[in-house]
Amino acid sequence: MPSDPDTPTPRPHPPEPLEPPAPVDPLEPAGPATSSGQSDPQRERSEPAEPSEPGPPGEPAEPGPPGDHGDRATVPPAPDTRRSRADGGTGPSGSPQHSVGGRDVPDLGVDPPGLAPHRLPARSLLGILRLRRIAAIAVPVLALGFGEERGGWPILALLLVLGVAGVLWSVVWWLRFSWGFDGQVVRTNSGVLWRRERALDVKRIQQVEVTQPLIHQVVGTAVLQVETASERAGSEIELDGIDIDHGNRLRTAILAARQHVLAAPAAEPGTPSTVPDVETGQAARSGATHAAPSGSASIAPSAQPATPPRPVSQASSLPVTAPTASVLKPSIADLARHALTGSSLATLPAVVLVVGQFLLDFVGDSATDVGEAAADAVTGLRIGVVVLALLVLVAGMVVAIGSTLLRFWEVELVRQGHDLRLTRGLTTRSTTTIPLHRLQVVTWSQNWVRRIFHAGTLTLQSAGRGQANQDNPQQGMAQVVVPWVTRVQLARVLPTLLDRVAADGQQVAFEVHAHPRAARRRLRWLWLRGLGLTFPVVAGLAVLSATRATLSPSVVSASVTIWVVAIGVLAWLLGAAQYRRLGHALDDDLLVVGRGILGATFDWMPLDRLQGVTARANWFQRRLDVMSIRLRPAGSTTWVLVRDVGKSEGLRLGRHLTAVAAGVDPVATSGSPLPDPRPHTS
Amino acid sequence: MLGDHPQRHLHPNMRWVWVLFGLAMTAVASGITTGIVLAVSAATEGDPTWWPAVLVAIGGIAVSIVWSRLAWQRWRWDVTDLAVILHRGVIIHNALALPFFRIQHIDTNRGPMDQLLGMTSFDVHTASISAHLPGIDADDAVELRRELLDLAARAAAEVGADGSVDAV
Repeated sequence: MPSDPDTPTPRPHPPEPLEPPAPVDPLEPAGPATSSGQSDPQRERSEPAEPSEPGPPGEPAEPGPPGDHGDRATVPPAPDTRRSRADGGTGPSGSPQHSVGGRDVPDLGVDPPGLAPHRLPARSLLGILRLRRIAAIAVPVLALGFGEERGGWPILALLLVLGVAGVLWSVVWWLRFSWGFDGQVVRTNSGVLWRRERALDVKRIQQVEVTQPLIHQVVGTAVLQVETASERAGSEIELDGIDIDHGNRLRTAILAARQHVLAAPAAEPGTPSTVPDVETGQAARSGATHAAPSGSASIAPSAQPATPPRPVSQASSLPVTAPTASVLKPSIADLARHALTGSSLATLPAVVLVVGQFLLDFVGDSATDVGEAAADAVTGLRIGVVVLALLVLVAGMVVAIGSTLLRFWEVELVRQGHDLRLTRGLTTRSTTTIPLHRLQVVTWSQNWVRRIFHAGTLTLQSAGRGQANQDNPQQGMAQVVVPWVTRVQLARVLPTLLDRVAADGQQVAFEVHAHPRAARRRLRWLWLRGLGLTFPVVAGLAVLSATRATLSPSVVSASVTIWVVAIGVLAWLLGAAQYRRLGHALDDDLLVVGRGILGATFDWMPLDRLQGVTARANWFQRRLDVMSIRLRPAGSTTWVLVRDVGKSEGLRLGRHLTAVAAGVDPVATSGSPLPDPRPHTS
Repeated sequence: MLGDHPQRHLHPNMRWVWVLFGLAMTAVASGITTGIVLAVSAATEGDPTWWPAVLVAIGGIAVSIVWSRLAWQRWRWDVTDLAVILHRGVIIHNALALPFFRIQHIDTNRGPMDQLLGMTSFDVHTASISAHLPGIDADDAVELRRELLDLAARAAAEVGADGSVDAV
């Protein structure tokens, strides 16, 4: 066992064929390690000869037991050998040394298959000092202590015991956590009592996220999360507390490995894969322009020209830099505008309400006295109610801007090769990477205020199961949110996001075709039904007030009548407003759906992610000859809904979508012509 | 696809399953209604009026029988050249198209009723939705599953090898 757990034992590189056998590292224990070590470079040398085996590589399993013993059995080359090799290669930062803070960081993607030899650095233990975790335990216990009204020492003793137990558990968990990446499969072994081994093939990756909560920023570590389209809640692989530099390089290595693995079979078109695997994918969606040679060239622009062509797993051991292009970069002014036009304005009032409620409960019986005292104080200060309200409003705006800035500090969306990456955040610095081919839906939504400014919020959704965030608590997709994107900017970046070459300056479609008028009837009816649910409440109140004779019957009946009329008018208007926003447009492999009521939202869905198509028509819809179509992208419990399309258009859409989802060219369908398109320009 | 009229029905015994399910629901509903009737009569100190419970029971039985026949007529499925098509729903018509290329895996389930009546139910999974096909004849089930998996593999080989499409 290496004495310094901070440095994962350096891995041997698959060395150059012409390199002399590496000398023994003086740090490693000599003796039996040497003899077994000599044979290992030979075996390692033969490994790269079989690069892109699918799945767990076909090499024989490592004879030694996994974990620590495997560390000892292999021989790392001398540090200077590694450094000179790094000179010839492409380091991520261009520096000849892969060292972080004086420690040598191992190269990535060259672990022996089947092993998870790396440990997280010891600094990651400080990550247990997360405020949320401490609060989750401490606050109930403290509340209990307050409620007891006894001497505090039993509570303190309990807290101390819990704290010590928590620290011990974290230490044991850290000791028993290990990970590894062999260029194709990412592995983790975790668990204190129940051991869990997770192996993730890079082909399945939907999204890679590197996040730095506050304590991690202080310590210099990060959380790396890898997401797939599986139904498991949370991320598939999570490395909590990996060194930040190491984590970034690992992320790059994983994504580069994914690109290589997907690009390699494309070099031999027409060869059926030996394992019929429905996940066998190719590099790019847009066909010829991203065929394998240019694909790999864009990933590895400075690939070593002098060496013979390297096999895939070897090349992916060095994280290569792809060209980075900034796509969107909202400024601080944009963030402020986003804050002032959105729901974060309600943060302060909501907090005030909650705190006020709590205080009221706390104060209890003496509420009236406290209220009178407060009123006296307020009048004593001679502040009018209006001024007070203004103060609260301004404070709310400040809080909104502050929270938005904290969340979106230095937000930037870049495209690096075939990946989109968003970085943001101040106290929690997070980086989310979505491979372009995992982008399921692009959504641009404007509320009615932002419509005035022609700006909206851009949301990119992948199929990874991310955490529910405040924007979309019900979404099962992982999301990347870019605030305050104007229409002009959006028109510019949509081709990049959807990975489409804009031919002849043709823009990606914004216009959507209207749905039949029957949809408006249906929407008005739906609004009426929804608003009408309030009617029993109103009627009940009316009956109550009539029986108690608090109000005169004429007033009661008048107000009920007014309410009924108001509901009718509202339903009429809102239904029409929603109908105006409703529409869809179908390109060959792109579906645009427009929706919204007062604001406007557009969803762009590349159709090759489509998993299945559902059509639905209830009795009213059948009478009106409309249907609703639901499209399911991968890995999510949500869908894109094309609401209330005409029956013929719906059938045509269904046929087209099913053909696209089945992977065939949609045959030109016979039958009904399209209804006259009435474009809705936004 | 959605405009097609799929031909295959479910196993006729599915009607019995649905009828039994309906009868069970009816029993529960009648029990609840009886309880309400007794409570009301106890509260009002009067004789219990049984007609609500009787109405619920008779109505439930009738609805179960009629509904099961209607539903069995509406449930149609088929295996076309590109996808599995499933039509269902009496009041709300639902149509589902699940392309072979997207099939990830297939589950088969046999509950106690299914085993008694010689049926199997299929769950065909993609990366997001899954199609639930109850009432497949148990004798044909193995053949059907093999057929679907073959179609899926063939679609994957055809589409994945030459094109630029990934199933997920």
